[in-house]
Amino acid sequence: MAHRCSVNCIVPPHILLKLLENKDRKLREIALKTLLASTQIRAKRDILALLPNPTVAGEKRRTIYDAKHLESDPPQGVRVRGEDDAPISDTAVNEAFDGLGATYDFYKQVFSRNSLDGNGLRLDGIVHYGDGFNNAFWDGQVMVFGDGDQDLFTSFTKSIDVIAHELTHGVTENTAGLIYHKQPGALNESMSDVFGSMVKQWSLKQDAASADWLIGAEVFTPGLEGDALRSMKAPGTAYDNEIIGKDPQPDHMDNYQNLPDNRFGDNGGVHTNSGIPNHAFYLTAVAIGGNSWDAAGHIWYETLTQNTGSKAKFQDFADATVGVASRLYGPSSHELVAVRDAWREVGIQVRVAGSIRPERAKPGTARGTTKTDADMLADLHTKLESLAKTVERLERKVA
Amino acid sequence: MKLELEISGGLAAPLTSNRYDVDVASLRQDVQKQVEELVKNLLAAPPPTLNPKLRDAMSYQLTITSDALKKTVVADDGGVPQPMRELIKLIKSAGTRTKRSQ
Repeated sequence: MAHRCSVNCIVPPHILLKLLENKDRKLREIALKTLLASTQIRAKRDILALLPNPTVAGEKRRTIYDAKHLESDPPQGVRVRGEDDAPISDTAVNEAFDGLGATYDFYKQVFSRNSLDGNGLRLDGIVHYGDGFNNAFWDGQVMVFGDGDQDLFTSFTKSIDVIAHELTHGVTENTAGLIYHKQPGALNESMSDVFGSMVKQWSLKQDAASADWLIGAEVFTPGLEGDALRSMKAPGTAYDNEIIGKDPQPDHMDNYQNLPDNRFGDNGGVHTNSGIPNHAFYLTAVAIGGNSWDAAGHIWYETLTQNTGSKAKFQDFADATVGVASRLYGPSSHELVAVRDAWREVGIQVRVAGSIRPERAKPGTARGTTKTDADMLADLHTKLESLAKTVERLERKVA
Repeated sequence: MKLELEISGGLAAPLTSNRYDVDVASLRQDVQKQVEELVKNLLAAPPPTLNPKLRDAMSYQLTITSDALKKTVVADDGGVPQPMRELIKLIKSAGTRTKRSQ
């Protein structure tokens, strides 16, 4: 996907639209030209996203953009580093670039997965987003990093597991499609923590026993007491101080937090209750021994990509992991026992051992399945119609 | 006029979720004028578009209450209109913060 535009896109669309009403014809023309360019880029991005193989299989394509401390809708910035470019003097740019690369390499080498969609999707990141912005997020196409307010948080590019966490949202979206509410939402968050932590361990060549199992250990400022945003080894203990409070993550179903299922209850506590499946993965990996990305990682990966539906709850996912462990390692294997015991320890009794739940990943997105040509043509037609209408509207406005 | 801002969600949701209140009358005259102008611009603009594909985004709910009106605007990271961004900055620096209990 060739997108994210040059400096022109830094001018917010509402200002450009306002300029279309300016008395000066030259200004109106410049505004129209910029809006048209922006519209073309967006349309190109949308259309390329519909195509089955936007890059050559196996190719890693990273691009980092600098938002220059502005916020825009959608997030965008100036291109500062591409796949073949050397490191630059901006640490955040290089950290994001390297983190995207490590995540791509991890999925490719460990699970033979070609990028987030399994089809070579480009990896785009935006750094220096906003002014003291205390977050990193995935917008469905690109990952966005803030620099932190330097009071509580430093740059969110500092933690490789945070970068891998955000990218894994793209994997989940392209496979199980777990909805972002309540238990499926907490599973979605947990997948990002699980694979984020594995990317860190894989990069550091750490086995399960020696890893710290912390998420975002590097994003707190040095003066702030606390280990990290979350702990998979001991959920609920990542931080505890007067300034930021206590880590609320549960490590057992007995302490599951029934929060409101709206954006102000964090969609039912998706970032809180993820502590339960996070801990189950930690227990599994440590019990099996060796590297987390070997047996435990493969069981979780196959469960996520092939055996989980969009509305899966913790119980469904737990059952499926045992089914996958049985198929991969045998019904009385050490690995299966480790998985079953781990879920039991977090308060989930696996219902059916040795079978895979019938609920499959949504059609058209699971590994090995693609949209039909007719579907893609229909989507393309809709996008082109929409683009034509936008251009027509802009032309009318400037006339 | 009173402004209430509720921030929730985000990668570090339990840490960054907060509620802020500010009584505009308690601000300096020039800031009051600035706030009124920003509120006017925000309410005149189309409501923010919410992107269902966002993950780990923070949400912002701004409630504006005066004798004549009570309006609420909700936006997520990546889609916060410019006047709302400026209001958020202003409220965070001038308002009273209450930690939200999740």
